[in-house]
Amino acid sequence: MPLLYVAFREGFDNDRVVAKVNGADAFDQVLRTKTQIGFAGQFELEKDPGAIRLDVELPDRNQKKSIDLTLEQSPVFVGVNRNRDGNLAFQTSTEPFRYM
Amino acid sequence: MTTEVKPPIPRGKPRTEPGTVAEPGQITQTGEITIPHRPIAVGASGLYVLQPLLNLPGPFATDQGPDSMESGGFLPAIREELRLDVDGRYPQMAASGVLRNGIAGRANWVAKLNSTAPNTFAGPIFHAWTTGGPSFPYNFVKITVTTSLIPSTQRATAIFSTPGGSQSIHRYRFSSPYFHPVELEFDSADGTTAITTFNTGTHPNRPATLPIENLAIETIYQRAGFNVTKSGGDGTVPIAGAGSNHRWSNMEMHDAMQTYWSKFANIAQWSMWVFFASLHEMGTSLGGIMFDDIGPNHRQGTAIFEDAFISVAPPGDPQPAAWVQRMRFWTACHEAGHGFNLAHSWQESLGTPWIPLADEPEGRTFMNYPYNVSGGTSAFFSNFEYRFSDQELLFMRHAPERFVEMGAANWFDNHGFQQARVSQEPDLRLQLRANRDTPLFEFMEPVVLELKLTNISREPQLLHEGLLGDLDSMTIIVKKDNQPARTYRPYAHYCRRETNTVLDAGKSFYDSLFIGAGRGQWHISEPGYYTVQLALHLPAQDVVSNPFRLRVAPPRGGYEQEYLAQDFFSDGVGRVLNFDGSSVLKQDIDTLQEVADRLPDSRAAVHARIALANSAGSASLQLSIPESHHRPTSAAAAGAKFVSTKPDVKDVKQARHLWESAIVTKQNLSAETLGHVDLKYYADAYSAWLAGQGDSHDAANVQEHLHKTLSARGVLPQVLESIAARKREYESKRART
Repeated sequence: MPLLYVAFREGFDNDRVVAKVNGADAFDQVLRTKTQIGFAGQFELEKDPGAIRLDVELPDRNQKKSIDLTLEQSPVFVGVNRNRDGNLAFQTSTEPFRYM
Repeated sequence: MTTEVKPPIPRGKPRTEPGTVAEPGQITQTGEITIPHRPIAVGASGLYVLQPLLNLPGPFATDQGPDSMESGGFLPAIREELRLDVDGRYPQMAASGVLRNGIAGRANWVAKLNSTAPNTFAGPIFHAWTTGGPSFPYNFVKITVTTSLIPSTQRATAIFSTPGGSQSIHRYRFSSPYFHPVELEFDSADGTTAITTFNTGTHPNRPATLPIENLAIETIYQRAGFNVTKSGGDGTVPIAGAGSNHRWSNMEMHDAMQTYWSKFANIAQWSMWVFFASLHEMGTSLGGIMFDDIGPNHRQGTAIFEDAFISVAPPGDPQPAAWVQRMRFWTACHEAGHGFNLAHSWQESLGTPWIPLADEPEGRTFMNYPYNVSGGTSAFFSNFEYRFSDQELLFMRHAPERFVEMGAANWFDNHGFQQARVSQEPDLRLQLRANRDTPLFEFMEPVVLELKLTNISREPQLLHEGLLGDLDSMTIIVKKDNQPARTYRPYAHYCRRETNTVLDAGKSFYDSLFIGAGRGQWHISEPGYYTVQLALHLPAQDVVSNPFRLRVAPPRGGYEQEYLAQDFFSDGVGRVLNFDGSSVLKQDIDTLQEVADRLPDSRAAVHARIALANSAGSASLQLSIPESHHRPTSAAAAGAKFVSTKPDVKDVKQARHLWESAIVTKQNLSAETLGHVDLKYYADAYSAWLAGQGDSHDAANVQEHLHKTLSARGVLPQVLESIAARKREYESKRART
């Protein structure tokens, strides 16, 4: 089964982050970005190929954002950033994210 | 190159070993590379010093000779320095330095320069940081260098000028072509090779103009302006330190650093440990990390992981071995950059910079990610010149040492200090100050500062009315010593109709800033030293204030005060103080009542009484929502009503008593703790309230008291005149009735 890899990256500051995949709980942690590498946390799960919806919510900031993806055989990497305007933003890639 | 397994450094043994100086032109320890790089060959740039044996007592003494011995008592010696950066490698046309400030304080300053004549440079001082002593009075510097083929006889003379034209002349002796020293130590884990060099000609993807040369990590930092030496012997660290999985966690690397780094100490020092390992516990996705944000002294250790993605050349690369060597070398320089408190190129305006840097997401600098720029890694290296960006160099060379030196400021603290929009010839000057002789605040005293914005140009300036009261147009930073800096967030945002007003040349706007508590936290509460600084964001430029240092004294009220403090430093009390009262936050009102009753002579009680007076003596309108078991869909559906409450006779009497004791009885103390601006604001509010109660006589008396107090405190004549006019209004009103 293809892999969905979600990385929480820039902009998290002791924020509770809740993620759901197709409505099912997938992640619930308090995250803080390690600024020297731009990384806060991650989760991965295997899903059947097909359309999926990823919902990410910061309940304490009353922020929520969703993205619709199509999983095929190769893994999908989704980066979640909290931009400087405070809004959540997604980036998708077919390659793993890299940090330094 | 041979290495040997390093024995742990025993506790209690001196942890320093003689450094191997990698001076320009010498061969390094490895014997591999000749380092051709004094950043400043022959010229004016470099570090100049003046180190008096004793200090003059006066502030900013004038005309000090380089060899003078000055007398003035048993005062701490402060080494005065000048860093001149006008030629040599990557000149920033800047100067910075340290001046003695008053009797025992010091001031760091930085200026942008133009060349005005041969060996003469001049320009505005665009920022200064003071530690103790008075505010920094100079806004311009002119530097003249007398060059010499014998470095020790080279001299620089700096003439500092105030806006009013007075000058202070300082003469310095050339000390070094470098701006700061730094020691590096390269250790590698068992089975890992330290990559500390790269030949720029080995990979074909490079700028056509890039010199073909051997580069070492030392070279890179020497060109950035550092006198790089090596500490200890480069050696090997047993892989056992990484645990059974052979992957290093940050804590394991920190432990290894403490054990195997010859220079480890929990102090700030210009020294860094660079560790070459196989893999981090995050796996191959992490190429390197400045892992040291642990413990009291950050940024002393970095690591590079040779089995991570940095060792995987892209398919089809013409020189994969050189690609890998380049990437590992580049990563080592990048991670060491974090040790100097540099952020990633796209993060430079984030965190808690004293003055934000501009982001450089496309920057060809060691602090960017090569694969993040447009066109990816190959585009990056096609015009990368193995250097840091100008603003990064400016920071490393000219920011106050404590911002850059390893182990001093915490990681991501003060990482930036040049505001991209700060004008080199500013029209406005913003000052933060407290209306008291020394910036010492009582424990639990809500900190109120005064803002003063002055038009220092020769032309009138058109500005928004109420500009200084608009906290949304400011970035305010509060930092307690040895703790991370925090951004102040106001309790409320205001939507205002913007109207402009003229600020004439030489004139100032004033306002108060209640900085003690903001949304979510008290920023200034525990005893200790704090620094507050703000940037005022205007359409065409940002105006940055002086960093204001203040001290909160330890509690003097014993157990009872410390007990009360637990309730006092709450979000609710912060809100009540910010909004001058509340008819809803009963528990917090009770806390303030306890402060007023139990600590009646404290400065906190002055603030508490104002909030209590407002709460007791003012009519209020509350939205009352009946209790319901059902979740209402709207206030109307829940049967909510506005309920108006008016103070009764007892409330009025209590309010009057509170107002009197807060701002009339000990008005000099009130002026100090509230500040002049807020004392006048509250006195006007109290007078208006008294007049509303039909007592114009006492309303006039309040204004008379205020006039006397502020007159004695040297407040501007136009302010005193407005108080006198208000007093006459109340007297006239009383005569009519």
